[in-house]
Amino acid sequence: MKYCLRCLQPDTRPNTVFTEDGICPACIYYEQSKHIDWRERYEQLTDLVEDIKRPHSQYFDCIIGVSGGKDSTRQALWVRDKLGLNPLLVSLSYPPQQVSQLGVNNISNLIELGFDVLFSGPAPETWRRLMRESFLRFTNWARSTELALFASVPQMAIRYQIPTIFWGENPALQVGDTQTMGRNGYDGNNLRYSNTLSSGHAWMLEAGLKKDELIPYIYPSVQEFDQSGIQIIYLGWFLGDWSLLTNASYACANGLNIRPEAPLEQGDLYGISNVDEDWHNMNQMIKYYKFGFGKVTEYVNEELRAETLTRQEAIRLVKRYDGRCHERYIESFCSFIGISVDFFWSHVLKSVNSNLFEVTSNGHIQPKFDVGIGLHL
Amino acid sequence: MLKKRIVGVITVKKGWAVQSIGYQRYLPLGRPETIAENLDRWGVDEILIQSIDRSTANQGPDYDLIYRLASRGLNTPLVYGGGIKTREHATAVISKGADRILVDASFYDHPEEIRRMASVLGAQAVIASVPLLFTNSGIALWDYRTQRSRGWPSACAGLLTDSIVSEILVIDKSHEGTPASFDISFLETPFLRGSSLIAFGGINKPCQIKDILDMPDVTAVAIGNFLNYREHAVQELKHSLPKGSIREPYYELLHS
Amino acid sequence: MITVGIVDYGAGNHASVTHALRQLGYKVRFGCSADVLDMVDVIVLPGVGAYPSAMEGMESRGLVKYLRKQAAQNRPMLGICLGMQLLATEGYELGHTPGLDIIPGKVTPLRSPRWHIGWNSIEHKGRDPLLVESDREIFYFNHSFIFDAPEDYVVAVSHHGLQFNSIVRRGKVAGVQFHPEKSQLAGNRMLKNIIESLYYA
Repeated sequence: MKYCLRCLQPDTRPNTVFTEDGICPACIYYEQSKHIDWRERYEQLTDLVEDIKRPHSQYFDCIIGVSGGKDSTRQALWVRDKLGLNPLLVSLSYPPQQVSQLGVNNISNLIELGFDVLFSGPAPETWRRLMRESFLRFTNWARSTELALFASVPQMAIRYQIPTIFWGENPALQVGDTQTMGRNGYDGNNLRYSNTLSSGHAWMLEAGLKKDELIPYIYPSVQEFDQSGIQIIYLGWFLGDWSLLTNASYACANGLNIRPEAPLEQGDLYGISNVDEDWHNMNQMIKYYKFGFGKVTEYVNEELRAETLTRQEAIRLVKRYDGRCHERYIESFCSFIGISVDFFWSHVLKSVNSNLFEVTSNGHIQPKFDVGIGLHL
Repeated sequence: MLKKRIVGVITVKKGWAVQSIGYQRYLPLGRPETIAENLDRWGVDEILIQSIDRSTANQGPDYDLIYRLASRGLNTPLVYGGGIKTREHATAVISKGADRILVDASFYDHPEEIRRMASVLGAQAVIASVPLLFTNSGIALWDYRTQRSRGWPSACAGLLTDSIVSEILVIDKSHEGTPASFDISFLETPFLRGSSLIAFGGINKPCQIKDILDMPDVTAVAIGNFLNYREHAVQELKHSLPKGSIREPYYELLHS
Repeated sequence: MITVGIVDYGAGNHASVTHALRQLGYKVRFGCSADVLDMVDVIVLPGVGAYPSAMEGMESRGLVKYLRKQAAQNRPMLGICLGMQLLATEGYELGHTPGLDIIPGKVTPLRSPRWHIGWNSIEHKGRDPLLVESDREIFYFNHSFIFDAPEDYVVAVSHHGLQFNSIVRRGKVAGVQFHPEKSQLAGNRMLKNIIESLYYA
C-alpha cells in the first residue's frame, strides 16, 4: 500500500496507476490543469453549443441528470444561465424509505429555480430487491442503483429524442479510470466501459428477476446511442474549478441545503455530499474497509492539491473521520433490505481487506496501516 | 339512469404532458399518449386533452397529437381542446379521432363559429371552457391570453340559452394544482344557471367530489394532476365515493 | 376467424373500433367499395356527425344501393351510433333525409333534455337471448337524436328523461345507439356478442 506523495490517495483504488515518482493520476491531472487555457476551452464549449441548436419541433436543447445535489445543481444553473440552453432535468426518484427530506427539498429547489424536472421512478420493490442482492453479492448495495442512475439519463434522451447529455466530471481524467476515455476530454460516450456500467446484469436474472423488470437498469446499447445520435458531454472538462467544495459553494448560494450531521456520524467533513439519502455515506464506510480510504480522503485530497491544508492536518482528519458511520444509518439500511445488523457485520467482515485491516476477537476492525505512510512494518 | 362522470384531464404544452406546479408553472410528465393509455386502463369515464399553448401561439388544433392518441385505439371517449377556432378545425378534430371538442377563446371571440360547429357536429360534441375567479366585483371570467379578468359576454349567454353547447367546463383558475381547493360557489354562478357543468381545478378528495356531484347541474368532475404518479388512481377514487351516481370502478383483466 | 368490414364513407375515425375488433380476434378491413365489402363476414357502419351529410357521403360512394342490397341478401350488419340511425327509413336532422330503410323507423331529435351524453344502462326487452348478458350494463352514449322503431325491432332501451331505443335489430342487421368501442370492457363484450350473434344467426 503506497500513498501518493502529494495527496493521501492510496494505490489500492481499482484501475489506478501511480507514476514512477509516486504521484496519483488525480494529482497529475490537477498539475496539468494549471496550464490549461480555460478561456480557450470555454470558447470550444460555446462553439459546441452552437451546434446543439435544437430542431424546430423540440423544446429542450439538452438533458441533465440531477439528484438535487451540489454537482447537478451547479450544472443545471450553468447550462441554463451561462450557456443559454434550455435543459430538461431528469431525476431518478428514490423509494420513500430511502430518500431524505433534504433530497426532496433540494429537488424542489431546482423546480423553484424555474427548471423543468422530469421524474422517473423505478418500481420500488424491484429496487429494494436489487439493493439487497447487490449488497449480498458485492457488499456494495449501490451496484444496482448506480446502474439505474446512469441508465436513466440516456434512456430519457433516446425516448424523447434529446441527443445532447451533459454529465459532470470525466472519470478518466479526474480519477484515472482510463477505460472510459473518449475521443477527447469532453466526450463521454465511453462511460459505458466503467466498472459499474460494464458489469452487466446477468446476476440480476440469476437472482430471479425478470427481464422486463430490469428495464430501468439497462444502459442503452451502442446501437441505440448511434441511432439517436446521443452525445454525452462532460461539463467538468470545461469548468476550471470543478471540485467538491466549489460546486457546493455555487449550489448553496442558489438554495441547496446541506447536512447538519457532524463528521463522525456520516464520515463526511462538510455534509455536502450524498445529501439526498442516508446510505451512500454508509457505503463509503464499506469502501474504506475494502480499499483503505473513504469520503474524507477525497475531501482532503482536494485541499492538499489546492494547498489549503497541510499533510499533517489532512492525516489527522482522515485518521479521525474517514470511514465513520453512525449505527443508526446501518440499522435503517438493514431494516430496509431485511437483514439483521449482526448479519450486516458478518457479511461486511468478509469483504474487509485483510492486507489493510485486522479484525480483533471482539469484532473491531483495526487498520494495519498509518495514514499517509503505508502498512505497518 | 345516466351516471355522472370522472374525467381525466391531460394538460399538454409544447407536445409534453405537464402538471401544474403552483400558479402558472408546468412540469413535464412525459408523453400524453402514455397517460391516456393509463387513464383508459384505469376506467376513467372520459379523457380530456387540453393543449394549452395553441391559442396564444396562434396555432390551430394539434392534429398530430389527436392522431397519435386516436391511433392507440383507446376504448374511452376522448375530448380535445386547444386552438379550435373554426368549424373546419372542429370537424377535422372529430375526424382525426376525438369524440367531443372543448372550445375556449373562440367561445368568446367568435360565438357564430361555435354555432356553425354545433350545427355540424351536434351540441353534444361541444363543451365550452369557462375559467373563473373572484374579483372585487364578484365572479369574473379569466382570459388566458390577456391574463386579465373580464365580464361575461352577452353573446355567450345567447349560446347557452340556445343550447349550442352541451356542457360547460367550469375551471377554478386560481386553485388548479392545489389539492382540495376547488371553490364550489363557482358552480352557482348566475350566468351559468341551467347549464350542465363539469367542475375542474383543485379537486382530488372524495368528500369534495361527492359534494360537487350532488349538485343537480353537475354532470362530471374533471381531475388533472392528482391522477398522476399513482397506480389505479381512478379506481381508488371511485371506491371512496358512494355507490350509485358514478360508474363502478373498473379493472381490466390482464389475461382474458 | 371472422372478418369485419368497416364502411368508410368519410364520417369519423375508426381507430377505436378497429382496435376493439382486433383485440377480440377479428380481422378488420376498411373500404367503401364492393370488392372490399363483399369479402367480409360482418359489415360495420360507424358514424359521427350529421345525418344529411352522412347519407350524402354514402350516396356519392354508391353505398346506399349497395348496403340495401346486402341487407336484402341477409348479410350481417351492425350500425353504431349515427350508423344505427342511418339504417332507419328517414331522418329529421336539419330537415328531412331518407335513410337506408333497412330497419323501419324514423330518427327524431331528443327534446328534453336535448342530448344524451355519458354512461347509461340499457334494459333488455327479452327478444334477443344472446344479448341478455348485457342487460343493465353501462355504455357510453353521445347523441342528440333517437331511433323510433316498431316494438318488434327493439332489443334494448335506455332512459334519460324519456325512454328511447338503445339496440334495434331486424334479422341479421342490428344497430346500437351507444359506442361499444368507447365503453371499455362492457363495450368489448357487447361487440363480441353482437358480431357473433349476427354472424351465427
